[in-house]
Amino acid sequence: MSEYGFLFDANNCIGCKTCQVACKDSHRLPIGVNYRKVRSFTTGAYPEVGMYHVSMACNHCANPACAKACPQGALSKDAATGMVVLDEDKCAGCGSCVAACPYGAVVLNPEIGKAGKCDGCVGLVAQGERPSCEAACPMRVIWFGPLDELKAKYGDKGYVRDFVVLPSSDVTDPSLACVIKEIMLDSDYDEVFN
Amino acid sequence: MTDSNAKASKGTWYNVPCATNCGGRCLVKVLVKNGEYVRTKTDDTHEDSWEWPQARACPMGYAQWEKTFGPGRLKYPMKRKSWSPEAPNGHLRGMDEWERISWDEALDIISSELVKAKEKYGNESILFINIMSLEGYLGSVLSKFGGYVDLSSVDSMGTFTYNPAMYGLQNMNVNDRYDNVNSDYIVLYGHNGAWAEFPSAYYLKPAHEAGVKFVFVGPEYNATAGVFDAEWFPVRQGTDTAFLLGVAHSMLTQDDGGSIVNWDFLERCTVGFDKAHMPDDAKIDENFKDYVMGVYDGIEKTPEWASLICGCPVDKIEKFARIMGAENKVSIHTSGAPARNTGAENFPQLLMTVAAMGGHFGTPGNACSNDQQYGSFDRGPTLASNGAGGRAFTCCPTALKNPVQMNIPSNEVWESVLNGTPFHDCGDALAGMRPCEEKQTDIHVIVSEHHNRLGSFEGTAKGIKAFRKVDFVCAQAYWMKTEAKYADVVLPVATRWERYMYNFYTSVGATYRDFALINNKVVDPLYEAKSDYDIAWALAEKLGVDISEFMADSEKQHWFNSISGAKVIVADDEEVDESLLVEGGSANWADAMLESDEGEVEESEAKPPKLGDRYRPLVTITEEDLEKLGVKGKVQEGVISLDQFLEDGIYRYRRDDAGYPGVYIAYEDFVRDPEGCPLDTPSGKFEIYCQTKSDWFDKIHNGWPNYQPVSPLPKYLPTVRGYVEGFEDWERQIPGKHPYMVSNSHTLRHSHTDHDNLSYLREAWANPVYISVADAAEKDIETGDVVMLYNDNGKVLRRAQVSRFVMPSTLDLPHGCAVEVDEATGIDLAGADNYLCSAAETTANGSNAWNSTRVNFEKYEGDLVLRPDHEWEPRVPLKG
Repeated sequence: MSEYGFLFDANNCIGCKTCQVACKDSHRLPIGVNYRKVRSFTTGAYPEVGMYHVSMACNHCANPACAKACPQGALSKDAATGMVVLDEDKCAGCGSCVAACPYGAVVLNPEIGKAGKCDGCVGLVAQGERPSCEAACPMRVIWFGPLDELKAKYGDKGYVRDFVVLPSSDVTDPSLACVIKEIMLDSDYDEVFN
Repeated sequence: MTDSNAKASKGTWYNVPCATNCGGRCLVKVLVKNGEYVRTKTDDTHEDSWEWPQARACPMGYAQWEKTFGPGRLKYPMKRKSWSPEAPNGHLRGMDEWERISWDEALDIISSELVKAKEKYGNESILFINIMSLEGYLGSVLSKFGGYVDLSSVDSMGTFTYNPAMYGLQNMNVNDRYDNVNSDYIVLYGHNGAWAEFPSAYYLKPAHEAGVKFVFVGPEYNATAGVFDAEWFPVRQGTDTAFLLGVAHSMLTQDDGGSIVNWDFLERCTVGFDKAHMPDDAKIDENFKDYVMGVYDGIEKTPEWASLICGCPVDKIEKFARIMGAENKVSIHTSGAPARNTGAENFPQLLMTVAAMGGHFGTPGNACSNDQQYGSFDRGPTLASNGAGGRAFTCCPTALKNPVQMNIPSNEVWESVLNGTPFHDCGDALAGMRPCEEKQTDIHVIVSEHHNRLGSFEGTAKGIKAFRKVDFVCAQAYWMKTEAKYADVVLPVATRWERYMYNFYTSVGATYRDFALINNKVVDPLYEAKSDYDIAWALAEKLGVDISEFMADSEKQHWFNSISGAKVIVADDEEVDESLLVEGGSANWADAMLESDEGEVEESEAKPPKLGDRYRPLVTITEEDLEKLGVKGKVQEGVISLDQFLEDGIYRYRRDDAGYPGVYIAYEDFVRDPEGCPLDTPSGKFEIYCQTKSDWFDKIHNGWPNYQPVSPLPKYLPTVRGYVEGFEDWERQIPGKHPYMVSNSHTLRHSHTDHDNLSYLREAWANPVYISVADAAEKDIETGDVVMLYNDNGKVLRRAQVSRFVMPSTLDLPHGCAVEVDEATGIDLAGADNYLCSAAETTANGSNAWNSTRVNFEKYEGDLVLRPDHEWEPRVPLKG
């Protein structure tokens, strides 16, 4: 099986939030509901400071906490792609998955009373488009697809999936490959709410 | 399986490139089904690559839909309930209720108020809100009606508007994006291309990957500095000349036989650096080196002297001097921010001087210019561009025919309206300046078309008082922007999605150098909205004036002209029939804007970079095309079909990995052969001593309040309300009442004051005030606290974001929020930057001194509740 996931080059991310808003627009999500979020962080002390941004949605984990937590069995791994798929018909909107996801990537949509998350833009992909975040990214730093193929294509950049602002990858085994800055390992940081 | 994007994927795609003054330019496409918005995507007309990048949009592009289809859209003409011709009740502007009226009634009111003002007080009583004479369509109507009072401001480019080419520094003239990897250092001087010149940071990505070092100068570290791991050289707002003089001093003292100072470059390419190299036209026997060493004023411009003023540590100033040294290749890109404060008259020339000391012009990896807006980090000959469409937005043809030749500078306008105070008319900072003349007028009517200067000019608080003082205010808008909120009659305008519209910002080169864009009409105007063009004709009819001199062509014809006039470069190795070539290729926006067949445009923009010699039409046009569109034009042969251009919405020139058709290096010819290819200055060289500059300031600005002679040398100018002046006692370092300098960074929530009603952006960008760690600690403020910023101009509330990237003694209040005043307290809850910015006191005409704002701040303990911006109700003036 070819595991689908995200390649994210945080070393070249400008925190513009285009991916976040494009994702929101393509799924027509209400205010307060976002499948993808960009968070910004600073490190160091004046005037030797650093800044980085993390764009994150569902990481389509090999060991998804959301699926384990769902009492309805509404979340499952797709056999062909490894994507974590939500069956809206089964979802009762209880929020167990939201609480379980260590990445904060599953959200409740109060308009429909159900959970929601990144679906890999399967609808767009089926029509020949790329997932909205990837197609929108002005710095070309987010890619979605079979992760091994993406890594081969983007080149050997020392991919990681653990840095200070993320939970340990041991928890859910996320399908994620990030290029990071050294400062992303610095435990002295602030989150910035732009 | 959820499939929400698939559900959304039927309908018709339309091209709607954004057309606001954001500093970037991108392609946006929208999917519409049965007249209803479905979703947005960006450029996917071809595979993306470095050589041929897609013109990808920013979040503002993805949020545009709400402008046309959102709840805040204005639907009908409206009148303020308490207004009548007999009793305007102006004090209620901004808090009154609104009532729907008919178009006929609305136009009757506007025309009768204009006629009344003209008859009783003359055309000098009509103020038409305007910017750099981009007067739009109503300018034509008002010119034919007898004229209007105009404005003047330097706007985005600050003192770079005062034609730095007179001493050799050409605006927006740096190297090709293919050259960025050749620098040892790239200097981002107050520059945030990642957000404010979207998406030009992409052009720097290969340099970052290749290990080019970045440095950032400015009061707040930003996203561009962050992504490229730039070292920060903190400098307070408005103190850049002190910083650069300290750098120059340090370059001289650290130099060891040319290790830092490029003496050969100074010798060959400059005049005025030292006594032995003075220009022939010098009236004063002063040179730069001796000035820096304190020979004339007894003040040696040491790093220690500079540090006290600019706040940059001495060792950092010394390090910056080494970075600028002759042995490094350095590309210096400044934004206009350091030029938008009082006393910034000498900043451009001083930056040029420091760059020249290191020899950073004219060779690969070396460059220096104001590189803000549209296409930064990739300059050079235009490769593809739109044509100019129609005169109304090309620039100032009607302003030049405006019978009332009266320009009130932005920093005096509200005071003039409010109290009739004399103002100082120096013409228009962009369209043409004239010697300062004191004038007075009595404004009774304010007309607002497509601008929003009550929000975007300095002094919003005083501006509101001015709006409330006059007899009548009318505004055209698609949402309740600030000028509409404080008006009496508001006309709903069609958005750019509702007409075939020629647009200044997509059509005369306010784009990137390698593409042309075109929009489609998406839907018919919603509700009762009408286009600015139709409104102008309707009002002209009411007023009985004939505007066909300016507006004989239809709006669609203007739109078509920008297609038929689109050009693409012919590379040197291309063989093209001479008969296919068209004239020139200049699409430098400032140059095109000033295209005019009459009137003196004396102090115009810098000449654009030397362009390619040969261009041909971009779009093939056939008889059938003309017939189908119902437009006038001639058949021509281009490189793509009209249908293709309209379907794609963009034509982008495809380069190759070697940078075909050529990698542009600014000043290459001049630096190779200064005598054979001289600059357009009296000496033909970079003038570090520039008599022309000093004489020009004296000719134009003499008589301006606070004017102080501007020396031929780029000296430090004491300002009138900057950091130093804010001290109660500078010598003893006793701070004054409002000691914190304020920046107004450009985030991706706004294009100036546009987009503030778009919910997706309000959610994505919370717009806090950024406070340094040290200052927050001193005032016991934490992230999330509500703080009040205040000075003698106004008070605003915002949530605090304590930030490592803000320099102590400064604050950053992002630019562009629409003022929302609590009438009981006078406090603005929106964090409108210009509510705090003084409308007065600059050292030159029209030099918008946004970055000379000083405030104090404290934790807010009052009763007002500040909800997150995205929870605010949209402004819907007509209920039900």
